[in-house]
Formats: sequence, structure tokens, C-alpha cells
Amino acid sequence: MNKVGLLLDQLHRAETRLGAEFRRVAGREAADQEVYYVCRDLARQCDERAAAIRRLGTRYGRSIAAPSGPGPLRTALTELRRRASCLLGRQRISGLLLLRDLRALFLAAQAANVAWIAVGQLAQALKDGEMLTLVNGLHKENLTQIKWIKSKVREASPQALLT
Amino acid sequence: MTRPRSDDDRIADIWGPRTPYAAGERWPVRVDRFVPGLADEDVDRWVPSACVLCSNCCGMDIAVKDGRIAGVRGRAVDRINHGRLGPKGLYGWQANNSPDRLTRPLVRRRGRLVETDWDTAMNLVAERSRRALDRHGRLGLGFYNTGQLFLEEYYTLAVIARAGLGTPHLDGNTRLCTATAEWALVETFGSDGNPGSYTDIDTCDTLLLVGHNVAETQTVLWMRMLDRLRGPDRPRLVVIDPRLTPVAREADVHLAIRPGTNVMILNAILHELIARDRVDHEWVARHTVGFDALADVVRDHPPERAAEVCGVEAADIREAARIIGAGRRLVSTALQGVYQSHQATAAAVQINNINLIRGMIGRPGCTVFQMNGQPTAQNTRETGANGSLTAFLNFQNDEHVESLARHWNVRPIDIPHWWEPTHAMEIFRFCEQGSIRFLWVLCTNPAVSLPELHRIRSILDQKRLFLVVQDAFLTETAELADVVLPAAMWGEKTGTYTNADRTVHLSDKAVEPPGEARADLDILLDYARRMDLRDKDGAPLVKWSTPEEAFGHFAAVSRDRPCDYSGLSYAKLRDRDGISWPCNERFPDGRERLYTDGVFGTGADYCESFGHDLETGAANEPDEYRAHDPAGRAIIKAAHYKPPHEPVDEDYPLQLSTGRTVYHWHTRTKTGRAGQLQDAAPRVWVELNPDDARSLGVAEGDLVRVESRRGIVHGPARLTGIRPGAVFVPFHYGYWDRREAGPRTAANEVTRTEWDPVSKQPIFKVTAVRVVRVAGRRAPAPAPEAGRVPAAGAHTVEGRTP
Ligand code: SF4
Repeated sequence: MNKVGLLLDQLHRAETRLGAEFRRVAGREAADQEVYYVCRDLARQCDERAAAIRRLGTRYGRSIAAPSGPGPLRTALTELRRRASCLLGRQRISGLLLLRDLRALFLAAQAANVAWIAVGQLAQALKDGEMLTLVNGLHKENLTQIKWIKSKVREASPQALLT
Repeated sequence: MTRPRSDDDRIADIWGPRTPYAAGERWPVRVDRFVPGLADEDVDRWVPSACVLCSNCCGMDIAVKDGRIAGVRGRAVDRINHGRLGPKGLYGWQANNSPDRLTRPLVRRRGRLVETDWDTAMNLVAERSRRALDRHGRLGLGFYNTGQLFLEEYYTLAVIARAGLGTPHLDGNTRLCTATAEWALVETFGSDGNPGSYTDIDTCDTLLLVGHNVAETQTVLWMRMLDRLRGPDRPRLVVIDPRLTPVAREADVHLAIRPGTNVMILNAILHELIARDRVDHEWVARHTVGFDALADVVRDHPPERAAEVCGVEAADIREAARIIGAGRRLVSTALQGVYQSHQATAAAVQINNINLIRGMIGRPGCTVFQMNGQPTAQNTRETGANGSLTAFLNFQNDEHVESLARHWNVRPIDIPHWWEPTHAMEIFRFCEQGSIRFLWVLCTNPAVSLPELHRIRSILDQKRLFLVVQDAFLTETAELADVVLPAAMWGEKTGTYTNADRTVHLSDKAVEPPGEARADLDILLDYARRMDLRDKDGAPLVKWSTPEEAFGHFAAVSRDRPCDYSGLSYAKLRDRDGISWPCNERFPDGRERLYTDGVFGTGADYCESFGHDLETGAANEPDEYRAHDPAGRAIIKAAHYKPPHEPVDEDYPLQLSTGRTVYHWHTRTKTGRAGQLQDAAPRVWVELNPDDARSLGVAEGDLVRVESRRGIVHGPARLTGIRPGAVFVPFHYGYWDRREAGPRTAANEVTRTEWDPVSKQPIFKVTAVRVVRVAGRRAPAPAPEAGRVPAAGAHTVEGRTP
């Protein structure tokens, strides 16, 4: 059972990181309204997935600690980043920065994807139908996030690189 | 019953006298006419045309006297209006004769716009285009057009921008009005195009209107509905709208929801329909995919939850669902209350779903109308002058792109199709970033109509951006331009346009444009020549020089596509009044109703798009779509409700939505120059619920300030039947006709920059604001009477209901 817990722990870490990454990018890309709002929504999805993983952990005897919320310093930093980004948003370089952010997001989302695959396989092997349904639903959400990141990369690359 | 009428007053009596009729009967004729001072026999010529002041495109004849437009009359034989005209149609033509028309090109010299000749202006436009191309590449140019050009002009513009310059940055202001209609149709039915016909109003027994104040936005369509509502077998009417609109006053059930909660209320209705088994299971199984997922999602949206979120009674939601579930011929419609709210496409698609699970589509009296705002918005979509590919082709489908390239005689790679064409808000974003350096604005006024105006003005005002504006008047946007090109208006040029039920009209040139003003098509053709745009064999890329030739080229491209014009010609359109596409060998007289066989445009090789995730806008991959090819079945897409991104809070406790009044159009460029219309609604106003007003210490007519995190707008308060917590400001009132400086009056000073992730339509209906009283009543609020309730805010209403 401990191995199940370990795997869930890893998955939890991947989702927490992904959520933090979405939040960071939202802050950095505040001048790009779509990226800003979608990333904030997707960060919230990651939080919810992380919570679901923690509940699953409890079922398998592993208590996973919830990530601590952002302290006041963090919140202030995020706001600062948002303001800086609005100013920077008027520079042409902002397209390149967006691409870099999307790349980081993609890697974090793929790390979660791999972890979801592993957990899904595990659920099958454990013959835990309830877990499997849950994992399939949440994994699909993660895959849609990846699809969104890819959409955004395709859309943003030419303008960022050619102009 | 024909009642010829003369010179009616459509200001006081907006919808005119009733001509009630029963289901299945023909809507009676009533001819409206306004030709001041002239009897019919005094008119030199009557030129057949159609109104271009909303997406109805009512058939009308233009009266010509001494080479000038002297008036209009509705055409009795036209399938759209059976002779009727509303206030805008009846009076709006006077703008053509306005003394302040632009008659010569202008260029900016030492900071000021000065008159010049066409050669100088167009050479400058061409030179600056080439400079942007050389220095910044084809992605350094952008075009932002309108919903009011003709098909031939849009098509030419699409060819120039996409195949000639090779830029994906071409979109229309239709992005602000019909992008969600387009994408809601594409996501569900695989392709754009409203399934039904306006004659479905004649036979329906149930109407569901969501965020669609048709009484003010499409007055003549409302006359048709009202005549049914006054007829012997009145259809039941369910209205979802935060305001007590003239439509809502007629409703059996009016759900006055909180702005921004459309998905919640629609999911609750779907919940009830499914829970009470008002589902046509057999039809659903045969003609749709995705029902189970919908049932899963709406299970979480019972009426009790919706009642709380939307601020309405659960019993009213149930009653609405009961009426919809009992109807045997259901017509559902949507407009800006859905399209300009957050979760726009997700909500619009749920309206499709209501008709789908009831199996009510493709039969007389059974349809859904994803309405258009502007008169020729449909044509921007068909021609690809907005964010789509010409003829509803799919940019992710290589064969589609190849066929388009064959028609244009260019290489597929010359047509930018690496991603969806750039949407308007993104075009302005690229201008802000400095990666677009040349922007051509055709016949629209972003300096008043886009959200967050201080941002838009600062973008348009940049020195590094070369701004070309083509318009009939010196608009607020034109004043910021480097070159201004004077354009001919409707009635001064020939072309076709298509309304919200796919009816195509031909409008012939009736009079000459004033001074040196030119038809938009001629300006574009001139540009193509000066830019020396070539096809892959070195021949001129644009191979036509008249509207009729342009139409023929487009008709050929559209062959075998959903919007098939191949059976249409100018001769046929002159012969017959208003023909619906598709029109081809199979349907030589046009096809009134789509999907009559329950086969939709979703086949992988045929569809316009592989669709999107409704929540994020992530595009589906071609392989993924092909693996689950719906192959002609409609796609039921479900969506969870999400709260708006900018909720109300202590600082900004009210929710602002913007919109139109019956007398005006957009930024009043035309309607503000028609005396009757301008006098009927001369200045901005702020609509408040009487209870909210009381707690703010505001009385009717007091001057108030509406503040958001982005700006401030001023206007006199008007207490109406709007739901508590909501504020409404019409967005028509910019600054062109102001004689002295004063406080800001354009509603978009306070709106925010956010758009729907699928349709990319900006969100004008959900902005957190606060309202502050500035001064006591100076004069009565200048607002029109429509939408008026007694100050007590009760639900009994006097007013202009006929
Ligand atoms: S309903 Fe629309 S098209 Fe018809 S007259 Fe009025 S503005 Fe013109």
C-alpha cells in the first residue's frame, strides 16, 4: 500500500507545481487578458485535482499535506509581477516571454500527465473501479489543459518570432 | 389584408398597428413608408434594396428624387418584413444626405488632417503598407473591418489580406456582435448558418428568447412575434433577461437573472427537461452525440441551485421548463445578453441543446436562431473577412486549404492557415505590443465601440502605428488616423448581403456618392493594383473589377459548401425578392430550412472546424475529431457554470451591462444624423433599479457617475424595471457631436478587456461598478420610453405596448 501512497504523493506534487506554474504565468502575462484569465481558472482546476488526490490518499492510508497558501509577501510579489507585466505588455519582447512561459507550463503539465497515466494503470491493477473513474475524469482535465497550452503555442509563435 | 399606409410615425409608435394572425397563416402585409413631402408619383425612381441597420435586412425600395435619396418604403413582397419598416429603417437613410459627409481623402500633415486627392492618399497607403511588409513582415499589417460592408467587398478584402499580403490579421467588428452566434452554430452543427427560417415564427407554439431584446434590436422581427402573440393561438413565451424589456413584458415567464449567469439558468432548464423526461430519445439517439455527458453535467444544476445563483425563483424556472417541455414547435433565440456575457459560447450552445434534446430542429416552427447583430455580419463569416476561412472552409483541413488556393491560384502555403485567423482583440493587442505597425480600419469606430476606451485610444494614438480609416464620416477613430478615405454608403453602391435567416438581397446603386467619395470595393481594388498583388503565375491576384464579377467569384468558391451561392446571380436576385442559401442545382430557389433530414454539417471532411473545449477554448486536434467522427450527427456539448471573473465586491457592488436603444445603431455614425432618431434618444442615460437608486440617494434624472476599475462615465439616472444590482448604460454615445468638452459619456470607458475563450467575443455585459450621485435633476432623463416602469419598480407596467 505504501507504494500507492508514494505514487499519489508524486502526483500531488506534480499537480501542485502545475497549479503554481499557472498562477505564476497568469501574473506574468496579465497584459494578455486571455492567458491571464484562463491560467487563473486552470490553476484553480489544479487545486481541485490536488484536493481530490489528497482524499484518495486518505483512502489508501497516506496523509498528504495540503500546500500552504501564499503568504503576504507572496501575494505582494504576485501583484507586483502583474503590474510589471502590464507595463512590459507594451514591448515587442512580450511575445517571446509568453512563449517561454508556455514552454514551462507545458513541461509542468506533462509531468502531471505522466503521473496520471501511472496512477490510472495502478487503479486498473488494483481493480479499484471507483478510483479508476475518478482518475480518468481528472486525467482528461489535465489533457485538456495540455491541449490549451498547445493551442496557445501554435497561435503565439509566428507573431512572437517573425515580427 | 393589405393596409397601405403613408408616412407613419415610428418614433412614438415603434412597432405600429398590429396585424394579428394564427399559426400557419401568412403574416399579413403592412407597408410602412417615409418619403417626406413626396407622393409616390412625385418620386423619380424606386430602387430595390434592403435595410442595413440590423441583421433583419428588411426589403425596402429607395425613393430617388433629383439624384438624391428622398425616402424609403417597405417592400410588401419581401419574405422578411412583408412591407414593414422599423424606426431605424424608416429614418436612417437621411444620414446619406448629411452635410458633414466626407467627400475628399484626408492625410495627416504636421499633426492635422488636411484634404488631398485620391492619388496622394492611396500612394501613401501603399507605401506605408510596403514599408511595414519590408520591416516587420506580413504579420506587421492588420485589417479591422465592419458588419456593414457588402459581400463583394468583404470577399475582395479577404483575398487581398489572406492571399495577397498573407496576413492572418483580418477581423471585423462582427467579433463584438456575432462571433458567438457563429461559433455556437459551428460547435453544435459543425458549420455556421442558422438552421431555420423567419417563417418558423409563423408556425411555432412556443418561443424562448434568451438575452435577446428583439423589440429594440430587430423591431420588425418583433412585429412578427407580436402579431402571433396577439393572434388567436398565442404562442407561449419564455424570456430570460436581467431587464424588464418590452419583450419581457409580454412573457408568460420572465426570468430576470443576474447578469453573467446564463449557463446556470439554461442548465437548470435542461435539468428539468431531462428530469421530467421531456426528451425525444429516439431522435436524440439517431441524430446527436454527447447526450449522456450533458445529462451528467446538468444533474449538478437543479432549479434550487440555479435560483440562488441567478437570483430568481425556483418555481419560475420549473414553470419555464414546463412550458418549453410542453411545446410542440419551439423557436429559441439568443443575442447579446448571451453573446457578450462571460461563458458566451458555452451558454449559446446550451440553447442549441434545448432544441436538440426536444428533437425540434429542421421542421417548420422548430428551430434555434443564433441571431446576428449587424446587417451584413453573415457575409463577413461567409467570405472569411472575419476570423474564419472563406466559404466556411476548415483551416485545419489540408484539402480545404488546397481547394481555396486553387480558386485563388496561389500556393496553399501563401494562405496563412497555421492557426485560426487573428481575432480583433488580439489584433489590437499586437498593435499595443508594437508588432503590428500598419492598421486599416474599414467603416467601424473602435475608439467608441471597443472595451476599455482609454486603452484603445492609447493604442490607436501611437506614433509607431500607421492608421488608415475608411468611412463616410469623420468618426472618433478617423480623427486619430494618418489617412482618411471617404467611402460611399448604402444606396450609393451595388452589392449583396445576407440576413440572419440566410436570405440574400441585392441592393442596387440608387444615387452617386457625394464629392469624391468612393465605393469600398473600388478603394480595395485600387489598393490591390497599387500593391501589385499577383497570383502564383504572375497575373493580378484580384481578377474582378465590378461587384457582379466579385459575386461570381465568391459564388464559385462557395460551391458545395454549406453557404452555397453557386445557383445565385444578380439576375436571379433582381428577379426574385430575397433568396436563402444554399442555392444550387439541388435547391435552385434556395433552401428555406437546413437539416430537414437530421443530417448536420459535422462530418470530418465537411465541417468548418473540429471544435473547441468550451471552457478554455483549446482547439480539438484533427486526429482526435476524426477518431470520433460525428459524421452528420449534431454535437451536444455540456458546460459547467462558472462565476464571472470580476465578481461584485464592496468597492464595486453593482453589475453593469451595456447595450442598445431602439433608435440607435452602434456609435450613431448614421442614426445620430437622422433627426427623428437623434431627437428620440439624444443623450446617454444610466438605468437603475428603483430600490438601488433609493439606497444611493438617487432620484429620477439626477446626474450620476458610473465608476469601474477602468474608467468613469456620466449620465442622468433613469429608474426602470432592471433587476436589483444591475445597471444599464447604452453604448452609443461617443464624442463626435459634442460642441464643448464635458464628462465622458461612452459606456465603454468603464468596460473591461476580457473575451470568451471560444468565440473571442468581448464581454460587455458583466462589469463590476459603483454608482455615485453627482448632482440633482437638471432635466428629465433623455431616454426613450421603451423599458420604462413606474418608479415603484412594480411589475405592472404602463408604456408603449401596443
Ligand atoms: S428591423 Fe432592422 S432591417 Fe428592418 S427596418 Fe428595422 S433596422 Fe432595418
